[in-house]
Amino acid sequence: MAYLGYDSSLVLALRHALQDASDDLALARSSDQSAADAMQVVRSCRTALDAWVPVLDQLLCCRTLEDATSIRLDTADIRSVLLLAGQRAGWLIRRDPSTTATANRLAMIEQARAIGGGLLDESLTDELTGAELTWLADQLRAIARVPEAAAMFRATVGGAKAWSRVLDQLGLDRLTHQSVLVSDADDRAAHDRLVQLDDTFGAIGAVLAAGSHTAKRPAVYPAVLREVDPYTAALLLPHLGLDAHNGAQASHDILVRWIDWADDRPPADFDAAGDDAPDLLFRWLATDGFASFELLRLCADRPELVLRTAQAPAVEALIIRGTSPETLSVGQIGTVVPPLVRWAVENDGGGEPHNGGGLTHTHAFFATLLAPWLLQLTSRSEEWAWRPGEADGALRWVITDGKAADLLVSRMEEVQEQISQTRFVDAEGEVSSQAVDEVAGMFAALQLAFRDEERSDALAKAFWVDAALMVVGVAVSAAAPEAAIAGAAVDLSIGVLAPAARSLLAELGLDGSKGAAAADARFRSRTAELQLTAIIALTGELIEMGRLPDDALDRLDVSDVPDAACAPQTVDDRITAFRESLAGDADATTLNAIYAVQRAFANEMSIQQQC
Amino acid sequence: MTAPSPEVEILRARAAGLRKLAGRLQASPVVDLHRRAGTDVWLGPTAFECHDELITLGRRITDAADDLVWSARSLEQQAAVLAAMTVVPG
Repeated sequence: MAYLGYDSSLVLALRHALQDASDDLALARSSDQSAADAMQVVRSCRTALDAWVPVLDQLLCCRTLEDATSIRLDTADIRSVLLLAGQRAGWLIRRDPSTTATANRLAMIEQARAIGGGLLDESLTDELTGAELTWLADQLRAIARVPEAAAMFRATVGGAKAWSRVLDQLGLDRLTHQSVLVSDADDRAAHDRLVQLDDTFGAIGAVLAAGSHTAKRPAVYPAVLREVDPYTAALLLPHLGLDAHNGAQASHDILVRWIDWADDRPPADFDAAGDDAPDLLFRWLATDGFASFELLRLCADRPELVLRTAQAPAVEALIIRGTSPETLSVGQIGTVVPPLVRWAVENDGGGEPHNGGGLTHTHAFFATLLAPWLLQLTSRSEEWAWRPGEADGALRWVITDGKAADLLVSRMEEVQEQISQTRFVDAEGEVSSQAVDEVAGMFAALQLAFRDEERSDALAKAFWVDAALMVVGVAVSAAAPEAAIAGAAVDLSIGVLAPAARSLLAELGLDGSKGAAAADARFRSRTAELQLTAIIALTGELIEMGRLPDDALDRLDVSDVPDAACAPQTVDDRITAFRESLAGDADATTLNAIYAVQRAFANEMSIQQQC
Repeated sequence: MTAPSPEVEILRARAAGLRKLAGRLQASPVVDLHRRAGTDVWLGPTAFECHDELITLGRRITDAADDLVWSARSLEQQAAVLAAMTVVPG
């Protein structure tokens, strides 16, 4: 319900002024045709003025007892704030006779001034009811749409200190009700209160965002964020309309204050149940890939700001989003992942997470994170900001945890996209030694790491078979582009291999299923098994395509490796002999594809390492 | 020197009348009436509505006065042209 407050004597003066103005207009006369329009304006203005006289008379000479009843506004209700000063000055207050609540410019400016002042009045804001909060949020959103009103509101509230009093009170209110919800998730009142408070923060943010900090000085964020408690700042930040960089910069600064206990006291949320400031920030940032990346970049010198603050789901969401190849380049990702891994390795098992925050399954998380980047962990490590030896150390650190090792190998398909973009054989049918060496380097590093960590379970076995077939798929697409779709690798698995290859792999125990022990006894080397698997699979595919004779596989020596021999070298020599035996029966591109696959699993250096 | 023609006299008289009316409107209390209805007097939807309307009325009166001045000037120009046409060089 709307109220009207007024000073009777001044309204009486206004009533007289209206009458005088109307009478004065009545004296304006002209019969000149050129004055016809002006006289029409005069008449309509008189009519409008005269219409206000009875409205004022009604205020001055109350016609009914009900109208005459003076209303006393609740001095603790912020919805009365517009008229409280008038009431204190002796104004009369009554229900407003207007049937249309207009929100004109003057009204909005006055409302902004009154609310701004009211928010600083503790008697008004001590305990805001839900209805008051809803009203406040609606009013502030309306104010935000009128620049002069928004400016008036900001000016009335004043500097950052005053803002922080207002905002921290709302922040503490939310923290209290958040804690209630943690102990009783069905508490409807607490839930509603949280929604109302979040809406109010949104509305205050809209008024602040309407200010000059974004329009004229996009490189800064409002100073109030540095004054309020980190929890309050985290509530307000998402509503300030900042771009990704400034949002991340503000988040970084809030995190520093949160973890360092600015002003030598714990943040308000330190002992509170439920979300802390970092949880709120990370959840918000994770909605934007570039903002997430920016925060990770800004935290590169202090990774604990990411890894030891928010709860695990929020940390994981932030990092996954901030390292997504969908929005970021390999180079960008390479600036933020190594510092995180480095910190995790150096602090593995190093005490309790700060205030309950941090990852709970660190190895497993980093296995998931790094799975698509096996090349950057091994043969392409120079693409990322690793220190010497660090990438290999990171790989080995991840797989020291059995579950993490399983995760890493079970997500092999995630590296397939990168490998499928590798052109082993160029358009002229020539082998790209760099590409082959990269893949060979990756597999060599993986094999050595898994061997050293003694990871040789069934899942790893299947992983190596999948890896071999993935490389074969790349080679097939290079040797026979018509077999691939739009440059993508041919997707191979044991089940879809050519029958001749499938049966030979099964016979040798190289298909990842039973018989693995026999294969281990026969070839005694993961490298040798892998290389042989890939060559058999590739040969089968090339036979199916008509690029090799039907009896090609018969030329491959798959007999046991002698005890005294170095298995990788022996198998590699046999594959070389096999390839040379095909020289008269295959074109150069086909032979080069076989050579590329042979070298993708073992080259001179990797064989030397193992023999 | 010859006396102005009746048509010229009429045009000039009309222009003078329009200017007088314009002056009256420009001096009307309506133009500043909104200052008597500000937030020091009253607050509330009706108050804001009234204040808004008084601003609009004042502006309409001012605009009407401007239109009258423009019309007067137009009549005066017509009178000047007519007077020039009726003067015989001599």
